Amino acid sequence: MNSYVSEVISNFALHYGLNGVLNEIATAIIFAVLVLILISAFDYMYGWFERKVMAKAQLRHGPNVVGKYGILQNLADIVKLLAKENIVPKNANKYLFLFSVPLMLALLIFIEEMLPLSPNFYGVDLSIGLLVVFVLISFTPLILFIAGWASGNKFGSISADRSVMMLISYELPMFLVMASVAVAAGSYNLMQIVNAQSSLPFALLLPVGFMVFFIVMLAEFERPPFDIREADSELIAGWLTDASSPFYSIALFIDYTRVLLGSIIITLLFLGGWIGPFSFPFSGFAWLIAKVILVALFLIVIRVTMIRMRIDKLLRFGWTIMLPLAVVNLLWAFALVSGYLPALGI
Amino acid sequence: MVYNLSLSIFLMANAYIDLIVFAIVAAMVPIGMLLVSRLLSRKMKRNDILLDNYESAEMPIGDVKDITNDYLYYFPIFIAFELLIVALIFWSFVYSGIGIYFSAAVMLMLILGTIATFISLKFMERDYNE
Repeated sequence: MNSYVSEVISNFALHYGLNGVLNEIATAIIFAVLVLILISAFDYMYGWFERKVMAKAQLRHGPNVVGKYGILQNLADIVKLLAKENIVPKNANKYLFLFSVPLMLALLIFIEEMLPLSPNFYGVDLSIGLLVVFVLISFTPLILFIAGWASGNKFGSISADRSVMMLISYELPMFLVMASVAVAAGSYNLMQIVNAQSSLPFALLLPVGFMVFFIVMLAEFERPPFDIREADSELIAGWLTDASSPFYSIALFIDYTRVLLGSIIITLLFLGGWIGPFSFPFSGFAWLIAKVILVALFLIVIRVTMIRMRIDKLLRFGWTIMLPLAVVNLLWAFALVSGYLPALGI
Repeated sequence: MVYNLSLSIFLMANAYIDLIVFAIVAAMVPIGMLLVSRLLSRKMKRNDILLDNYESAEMPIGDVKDITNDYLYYFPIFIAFELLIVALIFWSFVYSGIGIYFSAAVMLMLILGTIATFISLKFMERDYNE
């Protein structure tokens, strides 16, 4: 693990005579905890800001009682939710129900810990990092399927059904765009993918892919207009209908962690990651976070301005528009790397 | 060579150690939240209404497995295309080494696959709706 953390820990380990494995474990724990702090801070602030912006857009006040500008409202909500009992409905498949929602949060945090956050601040540098991240991400609809189905609730079952429908509508374009990024960068390594964007971000090199990927990420992470699984006006809360308060607090955590994860992935794959116009101390991390925040704010704008898509329209949209566009994008990427477009000077 | 091999094994082991630690830390978050909840919450007396599923304040009837799916005709196409995607992922690893003609053939297969998808979707949609 090559990072700032690693350097500090190595010095500490040398001083106290820790061996290689212990040094590695200590470094990994500290890195994971730092990422966890980042996730928690983002989730908290994003949750508050989204509520404020949505309230403004809907001509409401939003949270404004607990703390200055209502900034402590989320903390109050978390304490309230965690102070209630976790009840499993009698029709539920107890073990699957109890296992699925926590597993979902753990999986999202695990994926985030694998993503590089700057050239010197990353957990693992896997040669197939991109593939690993997307394979793990593609498990999330299946976990939500289990959560909805295992709750023993009809709304939960409909939500589970929709989860699978969504999976088959956008997973293929997602993997096609992923392959096009790997072809354009010549690698599945996330560090190399970011470094390949040093002259031109892939959002400009593969504009169609960027557009498709952005829409796919909205669907993958259940953001409006693709919040078909939850669909509060139709399905109460979908897979969360029978979730008790502690599970609901985990689900809120999941919601915002997904936003962070999606924003980081979009930034790494298409917006040049940590590469910025000028550098300063810790500039790599700062540029990445700045881009992530911009993407995340854009997600709020989409949320307050778009209406939910119907499931049949999503399927049709995925297969008749997104899939051909993803194929065109892959052909474009292949043409670029095979030198058929020398006129562009790329 | 021996040195390189041992170095690569050590690096691989390092990555596994990191991943295991990350997985444990990630799992600690929801477990910790649930433990805090268990400490803070008080246990309510159980009754049928408390343990029933919530169905808009009505008493739940029927079976949750009754739900049918109207879009099953997408599944066979999905599976066929998924296999194509697996082939494409392998191709994207080796495209620079296998020559332009073989890569062009793979791209042609992708285009034909997309066209076949459109045709089969049209037929299946028509048959399914009849």
